[in-house]
Amino acid sequence: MASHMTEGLPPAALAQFEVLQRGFVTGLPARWLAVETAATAQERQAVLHRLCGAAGSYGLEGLSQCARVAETLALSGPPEELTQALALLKGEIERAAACHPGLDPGSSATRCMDCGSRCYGCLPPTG
Amino acid sequence: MSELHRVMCVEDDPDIRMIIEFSLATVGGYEVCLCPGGQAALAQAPIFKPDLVLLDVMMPDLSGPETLAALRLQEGMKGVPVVFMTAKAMPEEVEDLLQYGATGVIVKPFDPVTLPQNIRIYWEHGRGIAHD
Repeated sequence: MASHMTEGLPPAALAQFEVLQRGFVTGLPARWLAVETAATAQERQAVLHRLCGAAGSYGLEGLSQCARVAETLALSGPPEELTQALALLKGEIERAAACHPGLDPGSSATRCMDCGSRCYGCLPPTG
Repeated sequence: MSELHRVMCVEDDPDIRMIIEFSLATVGGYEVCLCPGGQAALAQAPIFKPDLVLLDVMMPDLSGPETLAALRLQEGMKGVPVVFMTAKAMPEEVEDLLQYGATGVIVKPFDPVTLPQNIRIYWEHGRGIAHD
């Protein structure tokens, strides 16, 4: 699941990044729950704002972009557009969470260019 | 000018703190002090004595600009470069942040591999904005 941004990292650093990335992905359902249960539009926007910044920094660019779109709609966007944006975001979160569950951190099989199967980095973005 | 060794990072999101620590310590080789908010930064700054501060803008206790203003009142912190991190990167928003006295602005999301180089550029060359 490593992304292009990690190209050139030494193997030990790449393994460390993948452990961190896996931990971030593990926490995505909690972030989605925070989006769903936000008490106000401002609170939902703040959750989406943090998700956008964090996901992109972990190499999950598609998820980050979906969060940014939803963030821009959270306060005053048309409700139907916000609903659609949140559905896309939920799909991206589910795709990330489905990627290589349970593989050993640092295994070469965790990298999308090696897996050849269901992998967040290999699949085209939803929508 | 002395060397850049010690970087204080002020960020309320724990996931972003972890990837920043990876970026600055593992990739960049800097000594890093992580603070979860502005109040923690104000407490740690006199102890850690950072060479540069990386400062989130939107935080629940003190905002980034409020934290910067308070840091500037501390002895030894007046000339320490402060770089804001923000996802709001419209030119007028960036200019507003620079008006607070920041050295630069890092746009989130950031690339953890290039972040150490970007903050070093600010350290060496001064004001501006970095997009990854």
